[in-house]
Amino acid sequence: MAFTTPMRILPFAAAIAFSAACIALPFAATPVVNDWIISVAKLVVLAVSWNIAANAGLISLGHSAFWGVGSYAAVLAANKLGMPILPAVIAAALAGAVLGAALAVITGRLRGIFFAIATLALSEGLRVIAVMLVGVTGGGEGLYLAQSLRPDVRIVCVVMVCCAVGAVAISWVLTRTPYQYACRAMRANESAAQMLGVNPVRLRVIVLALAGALASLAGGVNIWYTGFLDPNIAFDLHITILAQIAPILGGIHTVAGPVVGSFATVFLSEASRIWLGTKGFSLLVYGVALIVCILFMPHGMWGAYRKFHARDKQRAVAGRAA
Amino acid sequence: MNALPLLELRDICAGYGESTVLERLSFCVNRGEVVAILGPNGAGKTTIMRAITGLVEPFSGQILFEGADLLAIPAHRRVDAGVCLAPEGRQVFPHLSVEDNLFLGATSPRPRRLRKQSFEMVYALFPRLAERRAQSAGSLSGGEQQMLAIGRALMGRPQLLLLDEPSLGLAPVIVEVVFEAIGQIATSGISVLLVEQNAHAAFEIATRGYVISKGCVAVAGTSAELSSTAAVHETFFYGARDSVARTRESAGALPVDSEAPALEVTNLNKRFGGLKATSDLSFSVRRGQFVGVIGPNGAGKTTLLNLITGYHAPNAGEIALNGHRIEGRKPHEICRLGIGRTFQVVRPFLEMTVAENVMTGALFSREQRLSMRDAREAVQRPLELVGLKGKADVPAGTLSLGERKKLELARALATNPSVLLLDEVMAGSTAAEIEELLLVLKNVHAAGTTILMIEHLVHVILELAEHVLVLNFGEKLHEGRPAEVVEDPRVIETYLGKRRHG
Amino acid sequence: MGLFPQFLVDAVLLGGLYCLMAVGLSLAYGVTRIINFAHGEFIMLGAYGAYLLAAHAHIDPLLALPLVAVAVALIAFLIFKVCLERVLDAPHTNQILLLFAVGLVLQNVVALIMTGDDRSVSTPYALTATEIAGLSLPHGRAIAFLVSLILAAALVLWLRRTELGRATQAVAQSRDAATLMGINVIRMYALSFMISAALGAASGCVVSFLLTVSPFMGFHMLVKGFAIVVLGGLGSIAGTFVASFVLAFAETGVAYFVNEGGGWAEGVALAVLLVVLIIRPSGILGRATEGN
Repeated sequence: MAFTTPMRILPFAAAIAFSAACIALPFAATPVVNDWIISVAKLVVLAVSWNIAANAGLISLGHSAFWGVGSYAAVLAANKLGMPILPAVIAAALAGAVLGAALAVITGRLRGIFFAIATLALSEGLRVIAVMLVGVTGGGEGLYLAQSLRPDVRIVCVVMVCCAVGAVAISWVLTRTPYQYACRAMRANESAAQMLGVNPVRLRVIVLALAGALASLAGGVNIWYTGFLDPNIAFDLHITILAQIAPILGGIHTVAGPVVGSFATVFLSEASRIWLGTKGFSLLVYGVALIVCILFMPHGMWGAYRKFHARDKQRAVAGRAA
Repeated sequence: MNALPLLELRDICAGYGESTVLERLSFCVNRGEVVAILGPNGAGKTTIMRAITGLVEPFSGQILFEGADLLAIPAHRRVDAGVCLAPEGRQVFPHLSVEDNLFLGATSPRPRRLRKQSFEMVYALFPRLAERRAQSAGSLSGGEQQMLAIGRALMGRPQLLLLDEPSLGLAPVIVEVVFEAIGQIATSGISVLLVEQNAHAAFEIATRGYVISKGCVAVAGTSAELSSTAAVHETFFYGARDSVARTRESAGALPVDSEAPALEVTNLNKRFGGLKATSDLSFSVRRGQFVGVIGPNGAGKTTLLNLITGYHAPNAGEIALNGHRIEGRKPHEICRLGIGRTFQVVRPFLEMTVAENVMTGALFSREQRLSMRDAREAVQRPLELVGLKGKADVPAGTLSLGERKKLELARALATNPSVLLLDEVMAGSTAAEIEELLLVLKNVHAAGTTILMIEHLVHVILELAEHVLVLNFGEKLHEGRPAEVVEDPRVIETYLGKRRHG
Repeated sequence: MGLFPQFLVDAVLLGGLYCLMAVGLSLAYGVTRIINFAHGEFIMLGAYGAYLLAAHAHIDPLLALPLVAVAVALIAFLIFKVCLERVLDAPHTNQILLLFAVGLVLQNVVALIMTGDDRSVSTPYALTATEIAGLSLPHGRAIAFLVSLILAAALVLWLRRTELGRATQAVAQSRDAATLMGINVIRMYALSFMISAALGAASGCVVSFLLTVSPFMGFHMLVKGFAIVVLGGLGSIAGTFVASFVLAFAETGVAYFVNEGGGWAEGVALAVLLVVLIIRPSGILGRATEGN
């Protein structure tokens, strides 16, 4: 009995220590390592965002829509309104929340597959709009983030890591609230959930506003790192793909899954680049990984680990009882 | 002459997922016979048909056809083996012509060789189909679709023809025509296995029959033996004699309530396309009353619940809860207003535990959102009531069908309803579970909840309900005290069909 | 209006092409109830097949069409056996993501083998046109239109007149009843998937001499395909034909009559898709119902 308290605090303490280390790291690390840190961190935010939507049964095939909107919001906030990094990325998050809420209202109670197609259409549509609104977005030529406003690269890294930590914290807190039950219920059976008082449209608005805010936040911070934006970069299909791969690989519907998956995804990408030479291989690897996961490992790596752990525990209990 | 039965089922156990519908069922069909299978809804009649044709794989047991193991043959090869089914609800291919439907009936190798002759045979048997051969099957009337379904099965040149409720939804005149054709088919040498609710029509042509109840054979005999009123009446209203004795005292003993009725339905109308699901339906339920709703398949009972709870909006009419109009409102609003319901096909949240399911019921259904701790408390009582306390932390996916029904009830109770709507909550439960549920519902009712219950098990209605509503074809056929409704000849007729000879 | 007749010609020619592009998607969904998110890649594979045969064997894309279509159908069979058969009864989300991933793999395998450079096939007729009554009738597009209509008509004939075709329709209309007839439903799924891929590849061959060929061209085609199939009603082949022309007219109309229409025309399919999904997801002639 005396062991339970320290055992329960251990995961939290580890998580806090790890987060603190990640936040401090950029100041000590080389640019190459910082590049990895940013890659992982932005993917964590994206993955958590996608996972939040997926938890409520909403599969998004157009997450790049939020990323792109966030990127443009941040750039325009900086260039046109002179905002420094923190207000600019908050503006990006707000833009994402608005887009998410609007998407929820517009798609109403559209079922899974139709919702997915709608998100696809949304991201492509925004890309076309970005190309055509040359006055605002610079059209196909693109926009540069005002050089004078750009802070040290390591600061951007820290901001991204903080966003990642924040995103994971938010998703963890959510699992402790009634919201979690509403989402799981809606995912399991929306019509039954309705009869228990769950308002489906309202829930979708909340879920998509939150998911949208996070994905836009990631895009908004990222633009401060890269400095250049055009419609193809902003609404890149690859973002959508990454946003799905990380949570599925790591373990959908869990808190740790997106984090584990993000590390795994970036690892796969870098490994394939180093060992196989071209960047083009990474997408192929992602595709194969996704197929393998869906067919053979539907609970992802984290899920597989937990199952293994549970079986071990069972054996231990049985062993002690014997 | 071969003494071996044509078809033999031995100790068949079959079902869906965790629930067992057929329990060690055994019966046989001999060559040249017409055998009828009767029984109330939920008894497993269609499951028998699906098991024989391979759409459902039995958990255990044997099915022998002409002495050989039928289960070893995959579903799509059984036509070739000589077994054809005209399924429940016809299931014609709606956008293909009559001729194409028949054509496809002879897809297997053996019948294909005889396709031309088969066409002639079917058109001779059903001249109406010959007239309409180019018409799309979906535009045919119900009776014509039934003829098509049978004709399609005949194209497969079966030795054993399976028919699943051919009289369902058909007017008596058409039923006569169809059954005459079935008689002719039997005379031509094809053995027939017939599942029916319309017992009288079935006994006109059947030599033998089995009455199925709760997944196994309850009564067996020749049609002469079975067609006595008592035996068949029992199957649908089984236990009715005993229950009448246990029935509640007349409802007149309750004081007349002058406040607004808990639920009032006025002139409710709902169409789906061309089909009238509810037709000028009006009734009212007093506060604290226990009302039962009975009626054959397709009578509109579940549609009624869907209209009350907001899943469909009525085309016309009003629904009032405690005097306030609620028709057209959304389900989650209606839940907050105090109506709870269970579904005919249970909808548990499979990946959540039992306790989490019930907690979801508690969390969002009140005017004031409950805190997590209060919700955890609120879960205890419903779980205790239905007897699932011991399984609180078990994933809902592992529960049996009876337990899932209990879970659904507990979840609905957790929403603290003033009016509880139940849709066949007993179906699929074991006898013991039914007894438990009876007690639960009595307790819930005693606590003051108004209950509207759709049920097929008449003895349950007799024990619990103070007032009974009988629906047929979307209309209110009759209402009154349970004991009297059950004996009413019109009501009996809707279930058993019209007696034609005395 | 002076431009109107030419607009009509262009719109009609485009409509025929869209028919062929989308009908495969419609067929696959109608029978298997799975929306093939890799359909665009079948089109892309067809285009590359035509390119390779043209570049290395000097075979005209139209002559190469049957060969390429069969080859892609075999690839589709492989995909069905290895991946799809396992997820036939899985939740829709798994099916969507799986096919999306398959498309991703196909795109990148091609990109690695052929590099990401744009290719094109030049045929003598792709560059010429006939003048009739002041209207220009480009040969390439006209031939594409004819081929598309012939293949689409062949599909409809196959569905209506042959035994296999009618069996395919039966499976689409009632899976259980089809099994009761003795039809092997899984085999019909595989067949439909293969035919849908073959039709997609055929449209790819046809497109190879009209547009640039790149490994990632499939995505745009997919979105247009969705717009057409959703507009026409999931599961309805007749609806797909009607919707193909509706979309073609809308896009061509925007290109002709709207300021800077050329750029906006790309977005028409998306706008159509969103509008239909919001207002009437069952489309014009839809008969597929959304399950609970």
